[in-house]
Amino acid sequence: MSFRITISPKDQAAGRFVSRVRRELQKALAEESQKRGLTQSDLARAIGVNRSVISRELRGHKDLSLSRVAELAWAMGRRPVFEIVETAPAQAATGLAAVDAKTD
Amino acid sequence: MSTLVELVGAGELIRLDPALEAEELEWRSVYALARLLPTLQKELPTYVSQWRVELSPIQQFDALLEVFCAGERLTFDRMFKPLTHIQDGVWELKTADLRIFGWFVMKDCFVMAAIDTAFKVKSHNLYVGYANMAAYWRSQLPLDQPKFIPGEDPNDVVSNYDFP
Repeated sequence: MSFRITISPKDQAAGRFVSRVRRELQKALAEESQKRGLTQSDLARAIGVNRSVISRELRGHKDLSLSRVAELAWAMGRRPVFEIVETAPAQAATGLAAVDAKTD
Repeated sequence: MSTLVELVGAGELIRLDPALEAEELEWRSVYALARLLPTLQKELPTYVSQWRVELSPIQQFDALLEVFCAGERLTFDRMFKPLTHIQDGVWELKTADLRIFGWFVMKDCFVMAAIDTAFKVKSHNLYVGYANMAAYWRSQLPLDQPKFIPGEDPNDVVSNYDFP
């Protein structure tokens, strides 16, 4: 028996996107940490917030605003790249079906 | 004694479908004890975030399931570890609001034995209790030997664990 949790396509898309953004920040920090010893304290100092704020944002205990994503990237000497691409046909159809079902 | 597939067929285990994106392949798999089904169906959707963040616990679970099953690197730094060994081959997978306990039957194949909110697990210090419970249910499951991977090294239980 296979089981899929009950989550709306909309909530799934949002959750996975936010999770990916956070993981990209974690990955970038780890790379910069390995490359030049950058720490969360360094990021906090550069941005002008307490280190605990950065820690909570990166661990998912605090929401990340879009401007904070850009600030963190800037503090790491990087910039975020963002684009919206078309989904595969099957996923797009599912998304449209969900919208149709809601508007019927 | 039975294989994982036979236990799924017998209704003792359920295989979680991670609903991967079209471009993703399932590199790791997650099973759950059948007794967890009511929790996954009825309780998980009602959990609320103790941090009051925008992602609900079920969204966090879905995102973790995707990352785990798609075989993505699990950790990038000591600060961000979603996988921790508790004791006796029982591991904890975690999100900001969830704690998931289980074991690895083989590399990249996790069996969930319990799931609860991080708030409850931490405030009542339930780590050892859930680890004991997972080990008990593991012992009761008529699974072929060896039933789990022993040891504490995450690289033994998942591939692509760490940042190089």
